[in-house]
Amino acid sequence: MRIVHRCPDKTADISSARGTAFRELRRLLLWLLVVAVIVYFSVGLGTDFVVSRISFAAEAKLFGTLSFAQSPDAQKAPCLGRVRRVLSVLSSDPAVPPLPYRLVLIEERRPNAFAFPGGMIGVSSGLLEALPEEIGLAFVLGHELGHFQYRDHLRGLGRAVGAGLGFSLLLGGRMGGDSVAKMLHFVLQRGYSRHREEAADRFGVALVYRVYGKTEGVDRLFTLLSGRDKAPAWAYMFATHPSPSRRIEKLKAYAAELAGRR
Amino acid sequence: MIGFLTTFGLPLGFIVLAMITGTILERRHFRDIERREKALRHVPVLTTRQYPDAVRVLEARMVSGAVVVSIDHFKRFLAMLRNVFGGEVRSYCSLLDRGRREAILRMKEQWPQAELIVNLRIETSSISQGRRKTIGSTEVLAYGTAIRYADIPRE
Repeated sequence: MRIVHRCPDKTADISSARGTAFRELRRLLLWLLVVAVIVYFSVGLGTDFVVSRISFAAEAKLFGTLSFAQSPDAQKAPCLGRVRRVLSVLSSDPAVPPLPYRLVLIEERRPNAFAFPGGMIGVSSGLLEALPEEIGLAFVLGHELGHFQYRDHLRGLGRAVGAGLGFSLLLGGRMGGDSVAKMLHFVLQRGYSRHREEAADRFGVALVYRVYGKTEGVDRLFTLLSGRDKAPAWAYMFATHPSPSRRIEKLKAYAAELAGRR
Repeated sequence: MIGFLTTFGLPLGFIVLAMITGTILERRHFRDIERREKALRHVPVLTTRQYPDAVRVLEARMVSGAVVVSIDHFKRFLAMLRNVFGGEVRSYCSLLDRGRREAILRMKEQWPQAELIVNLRIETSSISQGRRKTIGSTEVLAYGTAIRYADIPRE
């Protein structure tokens, strides 16, 4: 028996040498991105397909019973009466989808409005304070009606559920997996969302123009917001909505287009 | 903005931190292992149960060495990505390699005057295995029989 003295010559070291750990990281992330994009687009296409098959009547039936627990005071708040009047004027326009519209007041200082499936529109108390004029309020409601027209609330719901399911199946509940899934969904969703917001803005302006015959004052909320806006421009890369100043610009351009068409 | 940073910035920050510290520590550890392996090269280790017939054993001792190495966020992140696509989990390979070699070295260092270690056994176990949301560690234990010969001339 002859014994040869030697050191192990093959090692599994991936940290030193030619940075193999980073090469591995790069390759895996690239693959993950490819798979994530595929999942994202198939969820988007699937959702759009399903949503295109849901009629407004079916939507009203499915989500018509959706409601929020609210105190009767909040429902009867006098400020909502004003909103209700504007909404009934707007919803008589033929372009507005036939849904049983209901209003709900959300106690929040920040001016905001939401479209929920089934025709429910939420307005924050801050919004009502910020918009005393009818036309500014009409535009915000028109914007939400635009979301109903384009089914953005249903698409958003379908995408959130589908992407959540897809990414959690892909990455599993492993530690870090859910946060990577959230991150992917977050980044991919934002650009789509901003695009939908702009479409809803256009719908809102066109609706206000048809009903009121003018567009002066539609950007009231955005001028207010851009005055308060302290976020740097790059922060809007991660936002669901375009920046107020960008929306004002687009609104002005579209209002001019509408006036020119007459 | 704050919400964005805490949701995505913190986990990402921990992974980047682990990438830097974990890589530095692993590189250092491998350098250290290689240096000590060279220094202890004169103690051969065999997995056979026999020692050469021609020698007479003066003394035999059981020697053992154990080490627990922790994985880091970066290694786990790489392994998680590997879980999606399959293939060799290289970030864990290097971790276990470090563990095994360190355990053998510690075993040798228990009795550096030994001329031969026979019947080497290596055992690996996972600490905090099966518990979710914990950082796992691996324990490696190496043990064998170290012997000194009675009748060969010493250098």
